[in-house]
Amino acid sequence: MTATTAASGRASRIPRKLARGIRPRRVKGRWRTVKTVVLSAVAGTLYLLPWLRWSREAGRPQQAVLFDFASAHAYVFGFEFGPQDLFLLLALLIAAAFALFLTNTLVGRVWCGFSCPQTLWTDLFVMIERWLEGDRQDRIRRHANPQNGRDWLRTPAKHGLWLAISAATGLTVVSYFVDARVLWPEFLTGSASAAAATFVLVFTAATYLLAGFAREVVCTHMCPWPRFQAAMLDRDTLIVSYLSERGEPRGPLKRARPRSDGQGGDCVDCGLCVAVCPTGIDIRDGMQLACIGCGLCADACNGVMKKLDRPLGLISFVSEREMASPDAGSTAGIRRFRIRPVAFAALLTITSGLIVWSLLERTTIDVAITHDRAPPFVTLSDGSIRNIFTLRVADRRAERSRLRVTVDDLAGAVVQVSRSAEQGAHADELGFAGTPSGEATFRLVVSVPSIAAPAGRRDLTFHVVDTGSGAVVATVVSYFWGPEGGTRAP
Amino acid sequence: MAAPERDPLTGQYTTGHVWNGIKELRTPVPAWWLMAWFVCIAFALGYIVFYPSFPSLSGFAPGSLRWSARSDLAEDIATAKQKQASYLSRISSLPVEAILKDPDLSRFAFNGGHAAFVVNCIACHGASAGGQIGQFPSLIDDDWIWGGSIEEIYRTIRYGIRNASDEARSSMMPTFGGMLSPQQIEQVAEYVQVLNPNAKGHDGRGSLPGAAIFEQNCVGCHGAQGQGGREMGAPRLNDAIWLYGGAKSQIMAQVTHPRHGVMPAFGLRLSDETVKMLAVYVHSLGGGERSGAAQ
Repeated sequence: MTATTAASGRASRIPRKLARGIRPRRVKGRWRTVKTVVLSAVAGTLYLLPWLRWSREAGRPQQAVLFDFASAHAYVFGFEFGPQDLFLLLALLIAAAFALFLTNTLVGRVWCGFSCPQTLWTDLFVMIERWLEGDRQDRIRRHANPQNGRDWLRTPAKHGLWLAISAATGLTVVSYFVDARVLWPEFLTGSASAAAATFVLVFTAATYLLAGFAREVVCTHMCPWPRFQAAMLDRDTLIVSYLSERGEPRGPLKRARPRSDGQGGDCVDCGLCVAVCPTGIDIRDGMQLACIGCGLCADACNGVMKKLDRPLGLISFVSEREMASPDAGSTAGIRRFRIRPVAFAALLTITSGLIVWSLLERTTIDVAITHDRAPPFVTLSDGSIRNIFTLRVADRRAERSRLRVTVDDLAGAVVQVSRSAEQGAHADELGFAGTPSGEATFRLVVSVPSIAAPAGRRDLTFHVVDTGSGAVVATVVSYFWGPEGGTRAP
Repeated sequence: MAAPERDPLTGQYTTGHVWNGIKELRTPVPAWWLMAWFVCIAFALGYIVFYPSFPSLSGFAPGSLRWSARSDLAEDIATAKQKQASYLSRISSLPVEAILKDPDLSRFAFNGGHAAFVVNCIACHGASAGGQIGQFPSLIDDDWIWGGSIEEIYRTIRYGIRNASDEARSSMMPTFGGMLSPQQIEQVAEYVQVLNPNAKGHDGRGSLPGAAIFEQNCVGCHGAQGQGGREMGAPRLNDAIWLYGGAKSQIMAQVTHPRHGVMPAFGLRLSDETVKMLAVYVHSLGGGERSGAAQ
């Protein structure tokens, strides 16, 4: 069997009409529990995270996680990111891709089956559908006979709940970009901005359509991942498989024999594995594109095997090598350290290491100083030489105290800051009042007595000092121009 | 057409078309795909009706909404002007020195002044306001020919220098070329060169022959110490700043046949708010001077 074996020639057992709307049956078991726990954790985090507060200076967002487009800044708990940190996002996406490749190489498509948003909301919507309309058989019956009077209540209730969840999702997604405490009341009272309202509605509609109606179509027709995930698999990858050696020939219970008889397989052809499948495939046809690796068929089959007192695991997560080994099901001789996962693990470690390293090494304050070149210097009344600089500061520290600029080794140099707010009198402190992003441009005026003025150009080192702690938070080298050949004689 | 026939292998219907014994399966485009296509067509048709679309010989079909990028821009400009209105009305009603006392207002004025400076002033005073030696004064040093308080800067910008406006400032350095001999002019230039306390020979300047000539001809405007006279626009001579150059020949040229600065009256070209904002900006460049400070 190659990794991409398509559905075998055997015609699907699902009637075409039903295949258009897959109504998975309820199932209990180990994988269902894992799935519920993981999905609840993902959903809980996603829905609650925007409501977490984080105390920051006045004038800056107080939401713990906020991607603020207006100021082009992202706030993630104690971290603050500006546009210049975009490479971190890129690195994060690369790390996420390697993590996906690594898990896929080791345990197949568990991302799809256990934590993909499409799976999450489809599962949630099916849960609501099941609660209101009953399990698979009831739902099939109801949909075959839509005239059923009670559906006048159930159907609108179902769509109402779906829409409520969709709206909550739309609001939640947008809450990562607009403060949730502002967005929700504004949206519900109709006073939200047109852009915010539009995005809420778009995400609401997307959730409603994708989880309510498109469901497995997203996995089989829209998502690119199934198309190339097979390239990450090898013979040791765990995939949901039907042990056909043990199950075949399948047959109804009354004719079925224990395998030792040599006449029949363990599969009683009850069809439960098909009935519970959220993408409506028959796993007994072999591995296929539409399988999202959620293991619900394994749960269903194990339930039946338990009742029949036969060994569990007719459908289970096994590798191709395990299946091929004479003692099927045993894990002896399985290679866990293989080139592919080790390579992906190494790449994942390197990328995440780089992210952590750059987070730790990241300067929390960026300072750029440019010399105004026309004119390079200007003479003052008393003959001293003045140079003018443009200073740009991006301060991302949690506590933004005031800053002062000093210069090194230029005798008698006076550094002053000229800014509109401090007009008339020069100030020597940088203020960030009214700049929530912590970014501001200042005009820096450096004057040197004529005796100390250099001839021509020389390097000049600026230090940005925190006035509170007295610590140097940034050092930048620029230059100072004096008149060629010493100070000009008056 | 014959009754629909099922292909035994795939279970699908055939179209009934046969080529060389090969039957074509009936595999229509999916309904949702067709729907999406029709929706696109409907959208395109609607777009053609509402928005500018087809070109014609005399222009283009404007569409029923009459939308245009130009009217969008006009709207944006109107919105921006509306946002500026409260600032501008405060600037208009306040005396210029009061603007500096309001940090918010002065920040607005600084930015507005910068924009106006770039359009109106950099042709002469330069992009960094450094001026041009021998032509236009630098605005980033600490010397102000007509005064460096914000009121004086405002007045200079508003009425300009040596122009047709009645209120224009106008310095009156006489042409000494006909009144003094070339030798006297050379002597007075030598004297002026050492007026600066930092200059070599400053202390012995009283014995220079130029001292008496300066005393007779120049102190009326430039002051006994060469400290300048702002009310007449007479520049300070005892500092290190030389608008027309500090070499003896340059000073002699200025005494013999003076050049006089010219500046348009920007009050006639720009709104009063803009002139005030320009004053705020220029005042901040070189540090300016305090209002009412004795000079």
